Amino acid sequence: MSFYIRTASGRIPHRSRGSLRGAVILVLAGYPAGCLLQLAGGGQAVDLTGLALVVLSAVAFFWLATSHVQRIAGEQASELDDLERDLRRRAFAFSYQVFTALMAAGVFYLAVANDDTRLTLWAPQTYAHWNAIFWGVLLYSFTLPSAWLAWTLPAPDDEDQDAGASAPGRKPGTRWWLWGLISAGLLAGFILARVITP
Amino acid sequence: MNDTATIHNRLPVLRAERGLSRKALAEALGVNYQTVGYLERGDYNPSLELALKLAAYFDLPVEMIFSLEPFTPLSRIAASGKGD
Repeated sequence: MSFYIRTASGRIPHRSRGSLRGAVILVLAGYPAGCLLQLAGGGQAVDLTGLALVVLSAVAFFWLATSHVQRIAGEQASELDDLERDLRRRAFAFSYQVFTALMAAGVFYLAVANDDTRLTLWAPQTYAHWNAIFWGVLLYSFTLPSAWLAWTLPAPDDEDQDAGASAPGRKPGTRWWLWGLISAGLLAGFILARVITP
Repeated sequence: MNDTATIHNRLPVLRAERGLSRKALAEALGVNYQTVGYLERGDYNPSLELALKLAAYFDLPVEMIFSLEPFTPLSRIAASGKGD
């Protein structure tokens, strides 16, 4: 599962490989680190650091969402060419392997944490815990294909850079279904939070 | 980027002969301009569809553009032609 955000101008902004890799690391490592810091609850400073990491990882994700690697992962298949469709297939294959391994490890951990009373392992209990896990799973599913691409896609050479500077962009249409889905998700999350929170 | 064997190609020579930029060739083939660069550098082996499109565009048999063996450099072909 992935998506891509077209910029208002329709152009695909140039992102260096270093910055793409940095953003990917920030999303994949920053979000869980931020959640763990907030869970640890070592005072206001630790809580704020955790919150800052979560916000930074969200910013990094939206920065990544307009990049050319996210375009390969999330754009409609009809908009991609031969190479890009091949790259997408390989990025998704990699993501599937990593994602299923993470899910299996997570389920195994939950089984042990809930079943074995001799170990005092943490297990999610509150709405906030499950909410954090839900958004983490979404972030990982959106970002893993881009992570593979950020590490494997060769850097374009000078001639490609020159051509890219004059390449026309495709202006985005209004995607009502996407904004409807986001609005419905936010509304459902708000209602759920009101119902569940005591 | 390729896990498979390298496929050698004559795309840079053919493109230079016709005075085409990568962007112009990419537009003619309906692919991204960077795809042509990846093909020329051997970073990507084309699908059969794209190889046939290239062959049709240059009006050449596919095996004149792509090969599993390295192509003989034109300078060596020219030199051997002079010697005859």
